[in-house]
Amino acid sequence: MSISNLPEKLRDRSSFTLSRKGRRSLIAWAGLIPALVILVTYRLMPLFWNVMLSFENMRYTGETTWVGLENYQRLVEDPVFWDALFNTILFLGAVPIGVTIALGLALLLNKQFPGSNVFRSMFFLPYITMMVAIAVIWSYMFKTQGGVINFMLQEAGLIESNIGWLSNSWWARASVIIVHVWKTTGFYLIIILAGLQNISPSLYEVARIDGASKRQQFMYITLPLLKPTLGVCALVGLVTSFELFDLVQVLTGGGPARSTEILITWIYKQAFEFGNFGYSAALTIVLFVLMAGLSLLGAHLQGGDYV
Amino acid sequence: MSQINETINRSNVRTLFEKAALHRAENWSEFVRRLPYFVAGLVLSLAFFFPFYWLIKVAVMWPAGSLYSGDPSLVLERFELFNFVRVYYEIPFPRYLFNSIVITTLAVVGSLVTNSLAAYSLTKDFYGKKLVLAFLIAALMIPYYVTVIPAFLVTNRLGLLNTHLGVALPFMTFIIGTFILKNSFEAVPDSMIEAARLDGASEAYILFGVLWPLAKPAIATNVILGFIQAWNAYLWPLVIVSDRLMQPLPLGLASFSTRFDGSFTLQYAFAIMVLIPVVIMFLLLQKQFIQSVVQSSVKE
Repeated sequence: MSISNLPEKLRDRSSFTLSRKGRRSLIAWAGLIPALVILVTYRLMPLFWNVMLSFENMRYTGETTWVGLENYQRLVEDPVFWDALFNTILFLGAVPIGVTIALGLALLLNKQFPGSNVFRSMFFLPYITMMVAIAVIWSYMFKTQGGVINFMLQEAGLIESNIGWLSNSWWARASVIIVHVWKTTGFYLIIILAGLQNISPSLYEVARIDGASKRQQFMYITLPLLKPTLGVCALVGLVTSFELFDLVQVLTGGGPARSTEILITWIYKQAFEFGNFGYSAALTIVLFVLMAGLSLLGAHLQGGDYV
Repeated sequence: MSQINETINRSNVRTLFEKAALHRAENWSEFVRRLPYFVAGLVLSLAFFFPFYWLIKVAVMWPAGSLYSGDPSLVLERFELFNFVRVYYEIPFPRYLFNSIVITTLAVVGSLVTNSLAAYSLTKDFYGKKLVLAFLIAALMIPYYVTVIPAFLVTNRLGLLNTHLGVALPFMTFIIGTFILKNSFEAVPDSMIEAARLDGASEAYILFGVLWPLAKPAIATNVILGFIQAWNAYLWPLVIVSDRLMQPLPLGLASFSTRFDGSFTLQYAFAIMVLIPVVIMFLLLQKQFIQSVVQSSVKE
């Protein structure tokens, strides 16, 4: 074993590991196949098929005819589409509302008093509860006559006459947002609490020594350091907004008078109630572009400058 | 000498007592200081919890007449299980439950296997790894809700409409689960895997016999996330299932609420029957649930 032998040996070894890497690749790809097959069939292929479908007309029989941009032209002329687009964006307002409430709750629960873990779980429970069941629960609570929400508001003297929560278009929109805020706040709370734990207590100590007030500590330490966490909340909030399909479908059915229709419910109705697969594919493209754009924007903001 | 010792001991004891007294006072003042937080937390969490209380309160109400006459009362007056019995006889509940259990089991077991296989592959260095990772991250951007219509057409071509497998198949892998398992597998020291390989262990044994036992938290996370996804799914089964007997619980609940529109005691009873499995699991595994959900969003 002299030094001069070494290069040759190394070359030998490297050719050996290369063939090993080939064998390893074979095994790795074999392991990846089940997951990849499902993802390609249910995510990638549908996306391309959807793009094609949006230029076509398709009936239940499966025959397709090329119609060019007709579906997109129809989109522009469809008033429900514009309402649905408006509502889709409006209902995203549940995200900042939920995150703000969660931030307040997190600052409270972060005080580590007895019972704070139990409270945390109580706030979290709605998040893992089935949306359909939640819609059923709230649809009775929101009833105009005999609904518990109107009853409590009247008892508290906040309203004179009953609110038509689900029968007035703006109150119906508010109802959807309220329920979605209620469902998702617990999730944001958990994420923000985890984010708060990551802020070193010594930062606050130094700030206190320097004479920073509670408000200043919050504005200049907590908030900037929580920025990535809040970004995660916003991104996940964007994704969970798809669950609004279940809520709108069961709570309001898109009503009254299509005033709570969102893109995803309109897509579903166009395809499976009216049989316009081509048109609903065009709607899907709009939804996809909207969501992808917003999540890229969110990721950009999240990756922005922070300490 | 002993005298000195004694005095020292005595003074020690005294300071100890004083310290304890001080500590008690501190504890007490600490408690008083934290009392407002406790009260605020209690009030807010009870307010948040109210819909669940209301769910139980209305579900055990019988007769339902008092529901429609005048103002609702907030206190739990009676506890009757009649509504549950009535729901049980009105609809094929065991059938819905069976469908939900089959679909969820397929989804959980399937995704655990496919995610583990994919995750184990991704821990290796192989040709095309970068391509696969890029694909997975891009696919993460396509929520299944968006592709529901063509995915329906695909399922139709596969002849899987109105089958359990047809509903479960898209849930039988999820990318976040794969990444969580991958991170967990990568934390296992290479020397252990090498040792197993030298002992003649097969790849399958390394994955299921060596890595799995060491990745229990990641596996729990996968099971919990897969379970929540499949159990609560509504849109996908709605699209795939038209046969009443193949409906899982969420579809059953939604159609029940249109059929018994206005009979809220029955709807609430059904909702409880649907929610119980998840709530029990959550109560037993609170920590794991919360960790799973945190992990699913905060990827490294």
